[in-house]
Amino acid sequence: MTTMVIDKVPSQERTLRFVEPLPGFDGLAEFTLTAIDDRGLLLSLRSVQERGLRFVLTPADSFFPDYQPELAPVVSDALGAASLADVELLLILTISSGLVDATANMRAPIVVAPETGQAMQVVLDDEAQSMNRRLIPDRVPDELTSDE
Amino acid sequence: MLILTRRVGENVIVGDDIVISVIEVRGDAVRIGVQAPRTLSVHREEVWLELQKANARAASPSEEALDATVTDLLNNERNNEDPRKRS
Repeated sequence: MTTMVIDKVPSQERTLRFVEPLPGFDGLAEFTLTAIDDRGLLLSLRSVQERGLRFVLTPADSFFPDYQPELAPVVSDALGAASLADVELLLILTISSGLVDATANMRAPIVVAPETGQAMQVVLDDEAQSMNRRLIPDRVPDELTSDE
Repeated sequence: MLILTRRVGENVIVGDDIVISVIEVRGDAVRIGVQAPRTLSVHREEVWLELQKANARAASPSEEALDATVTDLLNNERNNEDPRKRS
């Protein structure tokens, strides 16, 4: 089974409710999702309960168009989604200094059911997927290399 | 900790609705099946711990780093380069 990934830019703030807390962040269920840049390549996922807690996400197909992980059918049940066909896949980014060393968690995408606004972080049963894959391949354009 | 011996095909029941089955034993590897309500997440321990760390590392990047990332993306756009283009 393949999963559709959405390419629409969320133009306004959306509220996501996590049906399971993000691992390591118990008790935080409500988050707001907003675009950071005009194209919506970067998204801000901010906790409603702890406003200081923010994750930066990217729609999975923005940087990884071939990423189509297999999701267990139980995921759509947990999200209250009719099927897995319409779920969105978002990846959590680790940003240390800039785009060049930014990494994405491919092993544990955030799966969102747009019709219910419910979300969960799903651990894929695929050890080939990295928890910190670079957004930009090692061979980067000159203008992206750091001059430090 | 409760320690008990089970054979292949035998189960352990935890509470009302969690069933742990021994599927196969081969050398030092044991295949285990876990049936649990979907409200309970079941994970390999090392993956779960790694994920907690990965999430903690990703949480709340500095404004400076985020600004730099947005600027990098804009620069790419300005240079007519698709940052998503992969070799």
